[in-house]
Amino acid sequence: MAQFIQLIILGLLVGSLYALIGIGLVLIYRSSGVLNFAQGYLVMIGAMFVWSFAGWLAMPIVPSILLGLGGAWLLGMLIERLAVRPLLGQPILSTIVMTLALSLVLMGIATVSWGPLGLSYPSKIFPEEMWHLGAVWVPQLQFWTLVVTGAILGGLLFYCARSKSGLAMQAIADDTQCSRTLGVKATSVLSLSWALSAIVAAMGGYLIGNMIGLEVLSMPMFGFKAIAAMIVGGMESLTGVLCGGLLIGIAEYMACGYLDPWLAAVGWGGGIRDVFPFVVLVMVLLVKPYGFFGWKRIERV
Amino acid sequence: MSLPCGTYNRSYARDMAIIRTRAQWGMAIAGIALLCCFPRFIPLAWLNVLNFTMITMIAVFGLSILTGYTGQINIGQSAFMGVGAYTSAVLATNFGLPFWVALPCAGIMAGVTGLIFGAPSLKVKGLYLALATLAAQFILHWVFMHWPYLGGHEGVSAPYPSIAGISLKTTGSYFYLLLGLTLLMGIFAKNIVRTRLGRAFIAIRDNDKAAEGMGINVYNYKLLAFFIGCFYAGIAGSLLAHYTGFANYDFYTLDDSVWMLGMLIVGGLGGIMGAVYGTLFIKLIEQAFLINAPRMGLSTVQGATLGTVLLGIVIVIFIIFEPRGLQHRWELFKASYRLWPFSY
Repeated sequence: MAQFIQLIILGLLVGSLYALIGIGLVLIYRSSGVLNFAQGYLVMIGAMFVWSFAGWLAMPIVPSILLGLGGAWLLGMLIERLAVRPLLGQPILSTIVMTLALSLVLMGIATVSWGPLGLSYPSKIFPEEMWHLGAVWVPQLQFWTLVVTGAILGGLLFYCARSKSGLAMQAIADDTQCSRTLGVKATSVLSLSWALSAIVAAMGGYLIGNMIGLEVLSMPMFGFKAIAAMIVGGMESLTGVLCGGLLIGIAEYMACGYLDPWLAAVGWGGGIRDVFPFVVLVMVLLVKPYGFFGWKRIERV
Repeated sequence: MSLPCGTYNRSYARDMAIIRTRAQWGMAIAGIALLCCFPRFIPLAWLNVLNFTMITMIAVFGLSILTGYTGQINIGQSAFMGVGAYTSAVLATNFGLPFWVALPCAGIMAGVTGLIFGAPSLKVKGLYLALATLAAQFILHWVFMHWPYLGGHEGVSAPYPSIAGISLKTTGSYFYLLLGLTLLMGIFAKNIVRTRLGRAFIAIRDNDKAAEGMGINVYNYKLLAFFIGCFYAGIAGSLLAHYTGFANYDFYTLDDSVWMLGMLIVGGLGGIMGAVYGTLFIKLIEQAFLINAPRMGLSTVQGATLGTVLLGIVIVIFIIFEPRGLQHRWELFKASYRLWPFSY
């Protein structure tokens, strides 16, 4: 029982990160209809931006986070302007291959700039000790990560529901034609959603880098797992991606706790948490393809 | 304007023929003869590159049928290549089967794996199906890495194929095998897309609801497209394994799948020849960067990374400015030289 609770807690902690990155994906998908396969690479680049200010320029951590987020904002706007906007209304294959090619470009640039080796932030803002609650232990670092993630998620949900530009985003997602008629500028909403998404990705990247260190090759995986979370929740829904992220995180740790010992016993060597989100993804696609909160579109010839 | 002046479509069979005029027959035969002479006068390094290019080309043919003609996006083509590679290597090494038996078995195994991951296409399409194949990429790659039977880091060794007692050990001799198989698979692909099957695929791509209304069994044809596309990948994987001498998961990553999609886009979606142009274009530029990296004062890794960044940008530029790809450009060029010096 203690192990079960332990796994749920760890799953929630990592799941909140998937939810955070997934929110960026949903923002982009709703405003432009593009599923951004390069989100994991934006996570990695954002984290590396922060590291550049903290590591290379030896700045204190808080200003370097802010500057890194600013860099991510610019990068998001740049990608939107150069690669996404010309593709509006193009077939879905074009947008998919575009984001995939973008991920190759970002990966190449990151490998050249920061090298393939692991890095870590020079100073951490969260304490690293464990909390022991009976038989269950909670890593404090990850707990504070969860708190920050929750605060960002809450802020984003509030922003989308209440502020003028957030409402404009919702309107564009609902009905682009109608909201343009009513005076919402679609291009600036698009630009804003990509910039916001890049910032959220960079923040997620910083939190991940704080937890497990920075590595160019392995960080993009978080983006792909966030895509799985997004599908489980339904591609259009912010609440959906929140639930999906937590579900994927818990499923991942459950698999890690209960399947890995068995896999190691039969010689497969464990490590199933790397792919378990995708197993869940395939199962969800087979059973409930539009996720738990997604919009099922009705098609006519 | 796709035909030379004075060529008319007098019958359906003539209209559908691949090679139309005597001059085209002459050029095709001369072209194949020229290709057969390549091992004599091409440097070994570039011959090696050509071999890899032809292997990739076979996989891109499959992708062209599945994604270009049927419209089912596949982001996991290289994982299906891996299935073929491991199947072929295991059959040849552990069971001692000859290459000619292992090759089709690899194709069929990859095709069946494709059917499993193509099964969500019964319910979903477009983006959602692309995600199922993305999941296939990660899951299959993980299985290659962790299944102890498949040898972990070392992979499974695959012997050189031999035909009638002649072992195809050298790059030159493997070139002939690949040339023959690429031509065969290319013509097979071309024939698939100009028969009833291909017309059904195109109908599904253009509008699957309307295709269903016309009496096409959409699910069967979608699954068949998955089987054929992944069969091609399996054949390519088997050839790659026997060429490099082992099946190893490092050759079958997400990046390779992305490259194949990029080749398809750069070459042009609506045609088998597009796959040829796109693969040649991307592979040759990539290799030019690798081979010339020392001359530009870079290490090989830096050269490869620079090539990746540049080619990624090239793919994005193609999507934005020439979504119909090199094939379309080539058709335009043919039309213009046929009319030259008249304006129309």
